[in-house]
Amino acid sequence: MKTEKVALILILILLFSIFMGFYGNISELVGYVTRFGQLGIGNYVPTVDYIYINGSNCTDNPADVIIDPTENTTTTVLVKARITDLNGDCDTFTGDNGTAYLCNGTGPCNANTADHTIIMNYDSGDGQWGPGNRYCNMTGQLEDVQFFEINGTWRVNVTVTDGINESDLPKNWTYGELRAFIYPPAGNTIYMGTLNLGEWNNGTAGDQMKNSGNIVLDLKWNASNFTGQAYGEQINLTGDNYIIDDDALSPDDTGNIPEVFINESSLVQVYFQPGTGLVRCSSVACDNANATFNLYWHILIPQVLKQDSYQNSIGVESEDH
Amino acid sequence: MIGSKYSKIGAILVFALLLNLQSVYSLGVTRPVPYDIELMRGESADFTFQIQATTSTNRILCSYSIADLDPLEIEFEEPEALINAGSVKRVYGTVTVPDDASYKDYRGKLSVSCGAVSEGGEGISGSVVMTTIGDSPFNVKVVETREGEIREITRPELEAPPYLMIIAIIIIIIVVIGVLYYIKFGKKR
Repeated sequence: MKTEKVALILILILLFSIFMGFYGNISELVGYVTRFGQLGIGNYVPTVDYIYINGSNCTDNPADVIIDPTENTTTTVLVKARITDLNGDCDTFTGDNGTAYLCNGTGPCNANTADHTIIMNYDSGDGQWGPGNRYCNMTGQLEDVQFFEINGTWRVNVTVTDGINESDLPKNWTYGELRAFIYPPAGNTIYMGTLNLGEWNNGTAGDQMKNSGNIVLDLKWNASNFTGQAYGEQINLTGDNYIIDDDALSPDDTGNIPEVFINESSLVQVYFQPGTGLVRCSSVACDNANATFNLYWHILIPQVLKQDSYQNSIGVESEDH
Repeated sequence: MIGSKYSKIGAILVFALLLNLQSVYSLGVTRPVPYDIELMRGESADFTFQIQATTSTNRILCSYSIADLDPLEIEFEEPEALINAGSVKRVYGTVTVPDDASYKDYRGKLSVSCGAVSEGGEGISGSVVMTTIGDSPFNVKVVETREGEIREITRPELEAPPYLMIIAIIIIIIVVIGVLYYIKFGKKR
């Protein structure tokens, strides 16, 4: 009986030893139990949640964000995007991790179709926030949009990558309509020079008209009689003594645009512009046809007129072509 | 030959004829926003547009109007705008639909006319070129039931005239003195 008890105890000790062989050692029963584990956290795709242009939230409706062009110069746009990265490491994102594309129209917007490509960087000023620092902003370099770029619906597409996975978010916005022109291009006075009695003036009062917006324009002109500043004598417009032209010769017409006689009534407007209308510039140089044209004023001075300095007023009105 | 008291030397004489056309150097007008306004009868909506003289070497004075919107009522915050050379001015307005307006699309056109002004703020003596930019679309749809919200246009707050500020300061001083007087003498009674 005593032997049986000893054997039973030995068997229990054996079983206990086997059990502890699997799950630890005896010392762990006394104090702390330490476990060494290992798990893998997968890489999460960073996503673009919102896109802001100049502080306004872009949506699918292009009317929600309208950026107006600026006459004869550029309009600066600042693209900002809120990013979610569940790995919480978007503070490491650099210019290699984010890009914004601006594309005219409603088609695909990517590196191949973009009119403007903007490098995006982690915005350290805004920092990270949210659970696990999952949110951050990426801000683009300032980008200039030219005055002549096409108005209407544009797309903005921000892509973000963490080096492994990439995502993007396309939204819409509007580049506004700007009707604008420059005339004359230098100073604020058109000098017709010193003219001869009884003659047409050639090659004086030449200046350039330029479309400085993004709408094709037609131009209507009218003018008043000339008045002498010292003696008050007038040069009356008769309908056949005052011409708007694109060449320096008068009354000969050698230019591309047929010359037009200004009506004797200052209330009546006459059209004068290229047949295509005054088209948009296609580059900063604005050297495409009919985006600019030379403009001359020719007047037939009466044979009898007092020596004086004469002035008049002219009107130019644009309408959509 | 010519026989005029004005031209004693003859037609070959060169006359000092200087024709000065002082001009607006440049002008730009943006399309009013919101682009397409939807309103019910009796409702109003604000809109805004820019007059740009960024290339201009002159200060320019502009007036503006919107045609083809009758019977809708248009009210501008200011009847005309003075734009400094090289700058941009934003103009604000309100369109109101009368109770008897027909339900339809009203397609208006904004027109802005400008002329150069002298440094004194008055019209340049002599010749002035008046520049007009028209045809800028301004569309209002009058509907029985509006689908979307009326977009709000944020206007910059107008600065209070200095005299209002002075009056406000005086009132504050009187109130403070009154409170101090009450604290010092009022409790003894």
